[in-house]
Amino acid sequence: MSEQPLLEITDLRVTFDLEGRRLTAVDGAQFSVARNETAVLAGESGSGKTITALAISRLLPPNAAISSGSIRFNGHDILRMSQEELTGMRGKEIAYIFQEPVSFLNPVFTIGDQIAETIVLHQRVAPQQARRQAAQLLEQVRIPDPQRVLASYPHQLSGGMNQRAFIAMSLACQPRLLVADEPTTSLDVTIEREILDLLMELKKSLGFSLLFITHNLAIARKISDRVIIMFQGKVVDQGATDTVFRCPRHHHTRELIQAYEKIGKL
Amino acid sequence: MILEIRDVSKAYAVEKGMLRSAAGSVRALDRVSLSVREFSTMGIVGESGSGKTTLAKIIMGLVEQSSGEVVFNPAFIRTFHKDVQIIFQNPFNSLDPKMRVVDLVGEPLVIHKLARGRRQIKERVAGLLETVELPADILSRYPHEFSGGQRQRICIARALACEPKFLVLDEPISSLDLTIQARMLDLFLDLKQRYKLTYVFISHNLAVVKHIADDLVVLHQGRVVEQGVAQDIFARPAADYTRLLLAAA
Amino acid sequence: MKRNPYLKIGLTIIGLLMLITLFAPWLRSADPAQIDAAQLLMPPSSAHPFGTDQLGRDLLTRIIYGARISLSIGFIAMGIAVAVGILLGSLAGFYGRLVDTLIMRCADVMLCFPTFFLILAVVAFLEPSIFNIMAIIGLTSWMGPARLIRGEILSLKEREFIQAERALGASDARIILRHLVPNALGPVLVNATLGISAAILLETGLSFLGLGVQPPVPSWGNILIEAKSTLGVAWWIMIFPGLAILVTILGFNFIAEGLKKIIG
Repeated sequence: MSEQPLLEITDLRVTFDLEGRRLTAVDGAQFSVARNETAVLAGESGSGKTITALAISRLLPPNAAISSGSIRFNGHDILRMSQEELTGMRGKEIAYIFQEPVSFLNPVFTIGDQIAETIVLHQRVAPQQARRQAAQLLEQVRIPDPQRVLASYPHQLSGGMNQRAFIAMSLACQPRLLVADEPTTSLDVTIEREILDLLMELKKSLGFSLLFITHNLAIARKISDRVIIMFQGKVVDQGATDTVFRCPRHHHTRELIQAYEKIGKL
Repeated sequence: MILEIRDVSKAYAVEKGMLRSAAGSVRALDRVSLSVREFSTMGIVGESGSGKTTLAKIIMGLVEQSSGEVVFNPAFIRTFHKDVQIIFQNPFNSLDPKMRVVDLVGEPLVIHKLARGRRQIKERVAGLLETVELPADILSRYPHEFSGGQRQRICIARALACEPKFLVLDEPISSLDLTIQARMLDLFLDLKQRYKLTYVFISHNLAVVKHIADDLVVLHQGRVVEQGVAQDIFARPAADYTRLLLAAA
Repeated sequence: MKRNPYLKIGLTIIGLLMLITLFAPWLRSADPAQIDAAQLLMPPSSAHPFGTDQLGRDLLTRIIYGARISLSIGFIAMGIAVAVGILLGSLAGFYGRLVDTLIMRCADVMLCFPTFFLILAVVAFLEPSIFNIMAIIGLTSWMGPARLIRGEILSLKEREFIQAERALGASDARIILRHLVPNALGPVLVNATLGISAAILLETGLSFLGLGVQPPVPSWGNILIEAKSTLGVAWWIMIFPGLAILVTILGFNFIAEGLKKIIG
């Protein structure tokens, strides 16, 4: 088991510059994700989990800076990469899905156009070829009637459908790591179930690592091999999901588990 | 019974094209009937599109139903806007961003003439904040200075200022972190007992509803799919949709 | 948060201007109407920093007193416009339907007329007193603020905190005055500040045409009437009022820019 982890984050520190004041959003985060592993990054709002996820491919807003630490992805040092290398890597090696797919999809282009665009950008194939691939991808994410969805605009589809389309788009170039930031939080419970099942299926068939960010430990229980707990910018607990649930080491982990026991499951 | 909803339907007209001609209608609610026992918690469960928020607004009189009746028992509910209050889902949108806490929570006292003079209002507001476990020194702060959970508590304090008997809670904790959700649920249960309140608790989260509801109504696409005593439904769900919801939770 | 250079500069300019106009009598003991036959059309000197005009009056004093006129007309006219605009615009936005249609069509009709000619037409019938000018400019400029407030209220009306207020039992008047208008003021303030500039220019134009402030009361506009006839001989009579107008307009426009940044 000495295989190198796909993602290795060491002592990461991210600070924000807010009108002269400096805020530390992430304070010494440390964890790794192995190949083909599902890891859940759990924490409440303000814990720093989203910033950590964005930092992985340096997608931080202009007033944020990675002040120290290192991020290694597939052997490469992310913090030393040039802008060109980063852009080539984003979407191709590391893909993201977010909470509100509608906000991230362009409202004036059809789903088909947007998926095809990603494919053309990274794989340099002809547009017709890209559209065929897009249809295949939609089938892969179990969208019934892919042709209709390809021709639809985001506002014409439901939240669940948009999220599936978004997943299809992010998997278009077969990334090694999919970072999912609360992708099911605003979806209905039954749709959430479907999307989680879909992600697990895709992971098995395509073989990628999944870093799933959430504040709901119920999801960790359902899908993850490992769980990483963040609290106020620090990683306070991590380990195999079962172990962390049985022997929480930090009081915040215990709080999260208590909440989960009370209202996270039936 | 403190509230009876009889055969309430709500349809929205769908307008199509440039000339906005009527092209049919969308039924948000379809002949919904239910009764709420005094001092109980009625849980209303449904996913998006079930009509639960429309129902909440119809109960509050913010939206008018297309047909059917909403009847409050005058033995309990005498002054509507005082005795019946609502807590909305999104604490970030429910408070006027330009008003201070003392003015927000004190407003019902002014509207319903429950207090007079600046000093009385301040005292009452401080007392209400204590009830919802917020420090009393926040009177001159603005909503944007608080977290979601704190803002929701401010909304609760404001609703309590009316000295209500009946509270409609429309997904009051869904947008909060899980640990805060748990704490808020405890607060709701505590307040209900202390002030002898009746709740209509709307949520899409069955685990939450299980924790707080005495009776249960399951809504699906505007129709009541199942209703009865909460415990019974959880133990022996009759409708397919209910079983689907339970399985997914 | 004053990382707002526009706002800072604008407020400084207008602040200084207002101080100068407030303390006019103490700053400059000369009488703006004081005729000095010995000093006709004298170029700027230490006794008369801005020179004198055709009647030997000190130009600097006249400009300072003219500032009083221009600023008060600007503020009061816009004050009237904003008050009428907020009233009509919030009623239109809040109640919608018939009320909205009526008010907005009135606004549309008034917007059809080029403001300047509308004012000219009215002024031709009424005597050109300062009060009339303020009222007329104000009553023909309410459409801008009205539209802005109506737009803001239309979108604010459906926000949850307004529904919450309704649920609390707040009356319409309370909702409009205490909740909707304060939240809708942003764009209106920007528009109003720019409107002050416009009002000052309008007054200047009217006075220049002889239809505004009448001599001997000094106004930047009517000082410029003289400038026309003395152009080749006394450059100071044109330059200094012109500069005053320029700086004042710039000041208000900078404030408007700064406000735009704050409102975001």
